[in-house]
Amino acid sequence: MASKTPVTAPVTLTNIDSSSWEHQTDRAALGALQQIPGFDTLLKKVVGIFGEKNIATIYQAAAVKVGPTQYPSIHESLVKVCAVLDTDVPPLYISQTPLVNAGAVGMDNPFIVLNSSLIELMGPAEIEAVLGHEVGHIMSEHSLYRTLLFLILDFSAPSMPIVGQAILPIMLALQEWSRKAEISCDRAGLLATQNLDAAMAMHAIMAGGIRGRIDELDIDAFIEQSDEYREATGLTAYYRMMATIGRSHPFPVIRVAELRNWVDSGDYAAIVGGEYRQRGDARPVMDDVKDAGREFSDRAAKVFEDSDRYVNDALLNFINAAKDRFDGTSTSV
Amino acid sequence: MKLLKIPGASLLLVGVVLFVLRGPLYGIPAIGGMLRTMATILAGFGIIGGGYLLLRAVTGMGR
Repeated sequence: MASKTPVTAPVTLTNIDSSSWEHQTDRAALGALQQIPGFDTLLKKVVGIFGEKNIATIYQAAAVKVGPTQYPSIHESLVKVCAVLDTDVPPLYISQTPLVNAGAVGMDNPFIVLNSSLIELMGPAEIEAVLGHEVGHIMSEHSLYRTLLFLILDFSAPSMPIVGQAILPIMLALQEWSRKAEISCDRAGLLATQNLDAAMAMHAIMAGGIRGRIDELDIDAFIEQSDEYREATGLTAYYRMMATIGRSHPFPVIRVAELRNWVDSGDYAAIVGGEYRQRGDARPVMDDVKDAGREFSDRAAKVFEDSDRYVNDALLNFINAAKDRFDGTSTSV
Repeated sequence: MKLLKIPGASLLLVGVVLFVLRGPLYGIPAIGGMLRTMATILAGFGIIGGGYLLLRAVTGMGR
């Protein structure tokens, strides 16, 4: 799995605002929630009292805090990533866990957690992409609403069936936002490393990386797999939609495709070239909401068009087969 | 056959048929409830999706 594109030193994105890379749906949802007076503050207080301090204490007690002398190469990667995104270096913990994963936790004093298995599987470039992704979560302040989602998931549905049903639409909406937030942060990971191969390899490894055989992982084949998945029609497309709807994270193949689409759109090159929003340059929330609405409407229309085509083909095949059976003739369509 | 070439017509047709079949499907022992729920979801999808595509083709909205 050698990198195919030449890797140069990443360009520093001085004073970049996270809205420069955020997916429009993510930006619209965050903007709309931030417009509710006091909502942020209240949620921060509640989650801070019941969640953040508790979790921070647990990591302080049971994980290893990375620093200049503690896993120095990983610390150096984090410093490098934060320098490119021009942001403060958050605390980083390594947790001994077999599940390949990472996360950004907390709001007032956010920190990053990398699971040990992730470091065992990934090379320095992929680890930097993961760190960039998590720094992106912190810069976009996703933790607050992700915590809200997890609180709803943990407490409502299993313990209170009727309440669970009532808040199902809110839960699904938060999950849709969460998936878009992940896509935003994949972009942050790419910007932090400016290495597309590493950003895509990170997803391939998360999907099915085998310890000791990472060099056999073929990114091009994974991209083909991603295209195959996206081009599914008919019933497969329906099952694909149903499999996605309740997930907080998009499937790895979708994340790879979204990353490629973003690069192909030219937005990535523009940001690296210096065309990005600076901190303090606010964009009207309604513009983001309109963009997100347009995107949802286009996606819904595509699903309907694909389904209509599929049903149409099935009906015409059925009619032709019935005609063949009854009068031995076939109607061309 | 010509009718089926109108955008959304097939989806709408299947949606309406499934909506009509909800009652009879409920009568099937043991699995009737599940079948009716599935038919309701798919009928809703067909009617909304087919109706939207048909309306869009006729009025040109959303283009």
